[in-house]
Amino acid sequence: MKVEYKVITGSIAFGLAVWVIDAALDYFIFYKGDSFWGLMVTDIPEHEVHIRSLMLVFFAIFGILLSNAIGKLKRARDELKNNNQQLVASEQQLKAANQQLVAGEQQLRAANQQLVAGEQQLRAANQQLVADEQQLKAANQQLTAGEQQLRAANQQLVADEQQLKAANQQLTAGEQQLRATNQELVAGERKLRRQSGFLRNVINSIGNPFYVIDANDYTIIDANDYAVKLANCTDVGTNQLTEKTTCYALTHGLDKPCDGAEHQCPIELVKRTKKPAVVEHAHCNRDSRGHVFEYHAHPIFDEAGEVFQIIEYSLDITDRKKAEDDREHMLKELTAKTKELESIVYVASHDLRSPLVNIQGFSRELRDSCETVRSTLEKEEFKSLLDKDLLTVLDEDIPEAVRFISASTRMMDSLLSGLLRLSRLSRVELEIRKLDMNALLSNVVGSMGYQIKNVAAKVQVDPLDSCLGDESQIGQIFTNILDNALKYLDNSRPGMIHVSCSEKDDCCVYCVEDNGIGIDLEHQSKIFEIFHRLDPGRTEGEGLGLTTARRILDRHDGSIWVESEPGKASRFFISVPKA
Amino acid sequence: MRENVEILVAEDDEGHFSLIRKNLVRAGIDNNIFRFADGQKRLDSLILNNKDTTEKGYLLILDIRMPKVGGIEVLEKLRLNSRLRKIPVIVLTTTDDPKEVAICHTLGCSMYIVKPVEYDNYIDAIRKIGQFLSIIEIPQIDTEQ
Repeated sequence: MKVEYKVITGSIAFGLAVWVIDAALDYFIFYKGDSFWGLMVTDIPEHEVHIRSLMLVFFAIFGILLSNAIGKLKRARDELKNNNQQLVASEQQLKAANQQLVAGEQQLRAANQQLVAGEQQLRAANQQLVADEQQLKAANQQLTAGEQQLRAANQQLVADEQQLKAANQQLTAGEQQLRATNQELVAGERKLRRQSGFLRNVINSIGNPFYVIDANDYTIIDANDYAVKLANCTDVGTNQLTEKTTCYALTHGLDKPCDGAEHQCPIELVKRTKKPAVVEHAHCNRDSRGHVFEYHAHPIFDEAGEVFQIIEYSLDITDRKKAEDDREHMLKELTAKTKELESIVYVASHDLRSPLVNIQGFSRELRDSCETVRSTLEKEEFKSLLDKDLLTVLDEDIPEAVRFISASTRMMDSLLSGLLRLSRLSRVELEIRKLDMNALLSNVVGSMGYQIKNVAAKVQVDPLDSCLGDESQIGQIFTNILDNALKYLDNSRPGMIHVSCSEKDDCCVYCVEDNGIGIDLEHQSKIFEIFHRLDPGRTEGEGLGLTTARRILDRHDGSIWVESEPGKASRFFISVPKA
Repeated sequence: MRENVEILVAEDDEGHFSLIRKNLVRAGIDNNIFRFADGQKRLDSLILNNKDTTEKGYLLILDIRMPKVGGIEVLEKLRLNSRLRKIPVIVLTTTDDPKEVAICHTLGCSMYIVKPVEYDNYIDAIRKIGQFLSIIEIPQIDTEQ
């Protein structure tokens, strides 16, 4: 049976079932006394049969509608099924077509691969061609290079030929030079022989021993005649000069080289220092006198710069040594004496003044006492005692004696003061520095203004160079010299003093020139002596001015001298080291 | 000037002492004046003999060049002695060496006079000492120390 019919049947059955169920319900609920059957086909309780009939109709219609719907659905499903089958068939057709297409594509790919392979083969063939072309080019270049080499080789050959020609010329020139050199050599040899002979003569002419000594074994390689002669007259030594004679055996009679501080070996010294050396040795000659020799040693170097020979000569300095010792001794003595003398001068000038104080003092006391005696005797009671002789004694003799004593004492004091000043001068420390001589002279002349005005002299000072000295002491020199110049002017003409300057041997030479009375030639050397005064009556002074100047200049390594034309002028020159 | 001040003259030359004394007296100084022939005696008497110094003041006139102990040495010793350091000292000497003058002043001498040979100057110098004596105050020596 079809589904549609089943549905209609079912729906009607379901309506009938509802009828029964409703009747059952009514039975149990409302009508317990009635039969079930009765209830089912009656209209009890109210209209139930109608309702139940209606519902049965309703369900029967519903079943018809549903069956109809299902029939439609069935037809639609069958149609779908048909469609599906058609689709499946179409798909299979499509799949078959697709497979055909895939096969076609594979065929195309294979064809393509074949084409690619063909192209690669073509490319390879092309590369081969390019390579071949390059090889050809390279071969061509090689050929070109070969040609160039050949050309160069040809040029080389040409050049070689030229060189050979030049070498040939050189050889010719060389031969000529050799000939010239040979001639020179011959001349040189002649010259050398002459020089060698000359040298021998020179060496032999030396009046002192002269040796050439081997620096290693101390043997004498060469010696001059004097050395040979000396070997024969020395107490010590071998007295014979052979090839094997050593220097120490010859000059000292020793069997080993000299050593020690007393007899230092000059050869050892030169070898050690590689410099010339001088040492002193004491020898004893046949005259039994002790001699002192000065050994001069000079190195001769080999190619390696080592001393291999030594030139040695000796000087007999015995006399010189003695003179040196004497001089040193005398110098010491002189220094001591000078010191002693200075201290004597210093002490004496003090101690000598002491008695002078007494002489002067007491002579004055004496004069005063004498006056007292005189005035006492003038009193009435003693007047008779005053005779002519006593008056002469009191008025003339005693005062005169006292006057002379006083004058001499004063003179003595002045001399002692001078001496003291001079001795002090040597003891004062010098303060040497660069001196502005223009300023110095300006001060000196300024301080003497009164004296200069007094004698109406004119002093002219040129620009002066600077020198090295002690300001106060150099100033003292100029004060003394200007003072002298002013003192010894000639009164018959206006006084002129001129200070100038020149330079000589690293010294400034200052000149003080006056137009005074001048100095006689025989007196010129004496004016620098201590206490020497040319004309004591004419002027005051101690005679120390020029002595002082000379002493100061001695200490300055300077000097002073005078030039003078008597009656016309004097020029004092003062030389001081320049600054 | 006080009466109890004694003038001590250290002077080896008798003549010089005589002239000093004469001129001090002429200048109106009437104090006691004593002479010592050398520095040693001077020192010994001052340092050792201190019994009679209780009431006295001293003034020392000192020569530099003296036998045994010289003037400078006397000055040095005086200045080191606490009892005697206040004594006024006048150096009267022949020496005019600037070095010695400087040393004396360093050692504290009150006055330095060079003995002039010229007598008038000498008298002037002594008178200066007289004036000096009249104006200074001379301390007493303290014997307690």
